[in-house]
Amino acid sequence: MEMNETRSLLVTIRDRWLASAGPDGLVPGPFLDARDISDLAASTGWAGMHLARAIRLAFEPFDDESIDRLFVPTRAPRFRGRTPHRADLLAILAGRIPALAAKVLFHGLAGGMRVILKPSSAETVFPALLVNSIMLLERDAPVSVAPGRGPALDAMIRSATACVAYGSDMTVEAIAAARRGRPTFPGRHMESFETVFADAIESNDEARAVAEKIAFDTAIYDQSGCLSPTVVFVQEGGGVSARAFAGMLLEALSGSQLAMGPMEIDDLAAVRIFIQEAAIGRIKDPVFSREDVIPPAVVLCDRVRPSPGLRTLQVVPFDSPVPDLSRHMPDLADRIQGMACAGSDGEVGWLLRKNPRFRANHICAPGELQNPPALWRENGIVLAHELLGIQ
Amino acid sequence: MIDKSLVDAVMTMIGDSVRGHSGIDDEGFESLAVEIAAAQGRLRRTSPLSANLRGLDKIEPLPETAFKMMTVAQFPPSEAVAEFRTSGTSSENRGRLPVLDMEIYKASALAGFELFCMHDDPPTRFMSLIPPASARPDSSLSWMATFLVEKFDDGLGGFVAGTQGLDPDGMLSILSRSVSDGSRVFLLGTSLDFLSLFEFLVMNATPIPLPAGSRLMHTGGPKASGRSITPRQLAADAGRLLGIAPQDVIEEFGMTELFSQAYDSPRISGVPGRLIPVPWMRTRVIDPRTMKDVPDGERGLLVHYDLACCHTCVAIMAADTATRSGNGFCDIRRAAGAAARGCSRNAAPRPGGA
Repeated sequence: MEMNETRSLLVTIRDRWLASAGPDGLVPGPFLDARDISDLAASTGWAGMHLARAIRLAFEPFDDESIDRLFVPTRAPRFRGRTPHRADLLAILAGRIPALAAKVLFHGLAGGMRVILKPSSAETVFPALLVNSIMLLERDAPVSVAPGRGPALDAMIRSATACVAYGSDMTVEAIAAARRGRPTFPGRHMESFETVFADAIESNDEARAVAEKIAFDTAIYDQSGCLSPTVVFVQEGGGVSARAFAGMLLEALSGSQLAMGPMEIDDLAAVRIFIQEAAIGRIKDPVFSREDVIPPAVVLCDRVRPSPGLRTLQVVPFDSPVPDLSRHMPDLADRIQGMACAGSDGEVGWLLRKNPRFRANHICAPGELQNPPALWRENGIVLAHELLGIQ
Repeated sequence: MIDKSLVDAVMTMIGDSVRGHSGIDDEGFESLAVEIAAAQGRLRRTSPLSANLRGLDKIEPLPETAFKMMTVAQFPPSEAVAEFRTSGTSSENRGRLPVLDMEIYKASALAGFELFCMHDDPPTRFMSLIPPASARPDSSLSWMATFLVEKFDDGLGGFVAGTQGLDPDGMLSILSRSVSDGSRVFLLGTSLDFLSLFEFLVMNATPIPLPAGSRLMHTGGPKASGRSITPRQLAADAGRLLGIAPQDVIEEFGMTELFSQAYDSPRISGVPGRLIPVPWMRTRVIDPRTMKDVPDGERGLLVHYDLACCHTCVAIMAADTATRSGNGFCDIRRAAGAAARGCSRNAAPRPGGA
């Protein structure tokens, strides 16, 4: 496929998927029947308007201009003249977020690769539907779904021209090692956080509005994925204290219209243990949760601990002009994917300057954390442009 | 400090249980547990919803990780006679249990073992693959093995492991003598210890059919090591290589943070694969969302209420999930995100050093 054909294909695919995402849920159409929608809801764990919202987040960033820019590298390609779509990009996906599969596929095709999606074990339906929706439009489109575990996949991992691999550090390192120097783009463990400066929450109404947006960032994917916030830094001294804001966050999370996805008992156990541990820390009455059931939960703390997910947020109060992130969450240095800030540009700039090892690849306002632009530098790179540079 | 009358009540309860004088009904257990929890400051704070809490629900369990984060003791740590440590890869992530009164642990461990392992006509010779307390003074399991060998061994058995690992000559000596004099033997060890023993026997092509009625108690699932053996495989190998009947293979469940244990003792519980706590400990399988008991057959989070922990914390929330099975539990799994642990992490190296 030539560039124009690929561009046209991406535009059509985007439009079809967006057209299927109605305000109340996915609607059957030419490439998506009722059974597909039901399967997708069961597989992702999100249904109705929640699922439709997740689908919109997957495709909306790819407006016409963004799609055009995917094809134009910001720096000179290392190799020129490669025949389009003759080289393989193996994308090893993790989690159940549709936006990840859509992003990799759009970047891969724009990068001139034949894209092979390897779905995560947690969610296999969307990648298959996505590939199928393309094949229905263009029978010979250079897209496919990888086989499950086994020798065929192992061989593919070793031989694919390029590979983008998401997963735990151990998984990603093992994949990179198996590829012996072939181009591999690792998507290792990364996290995101939000910061609320005092001047953004002078009144209860302002604070509630910010809390609602953070709750959306948290709830849309049930806190899975690297752009889900796990911690919120809240500056003291405004009209609303960090403690009061934590209560508002719980209220917003509890009232979220986005129903919780599937919850395994072991994951819920981790949330309960996390909460019980918080209760024995130095901060008095640190846990904000409904008394009869968890999750969601919000915990006041001074030092960030590994998050159990499932809509469990940690709120860290700070008095200084900007938080010292290396003190509050040293384990997350160089592992920040996204940062949302409610505050002035000056405050955001200062926060970044004071915390150079916590620079995020996606910086935005609360409520936009899960809606990065099409060309955001996930893991520090624009995948399509990197792929254009591969022979 | 905990009032001595509470400690005496616990010791009486343990003694009465093992002597068969009286059972421990739920009401009596819960009443004493709540009294101890109140003395430990572990009752849940009152609120409109908690005002109606009953029995064990009144107690706020402490997560096991607390033992890594702080000193859990109802006495000045300087008064501890010993300190048990959980397994772990570094001192930073090892939990600590200061021991004020070793006699409580001894009474609990011996009584529980008697109830679940010394039924009918038990062996009188003991061989422990677990090192003695003198070799591992911070291991609660080693202390337990020491209590058992000191009390029940006929003097011709003993420990076949120390700081250097398993002693093959010592093992063969005790097992061979047992075969020659027809004396039944009780083997104690972690599951990985037994894996090492079985590998040794296979390597040397020397199955040793022990006298009928010999028994085996294993503990500590292999939660983090690369080597593993399932309880079923362990029982099968014990039969094939040592001639021990499957009903005489007993699994023990314990935690450093607890002074009492649970047992899967087929001849006592009747249902293999189910761990039943000693009478002075209750284990609840709770729904982590609500903290309420799950229905029989469903999975949940384990919370142990151990009256013998009167000097530390009576209610411990383990980082384990399991399936509720009657008054016991089965299929234990480490909860997501929890650090792997287990007695077998400290299992003796295989003979020969591999």
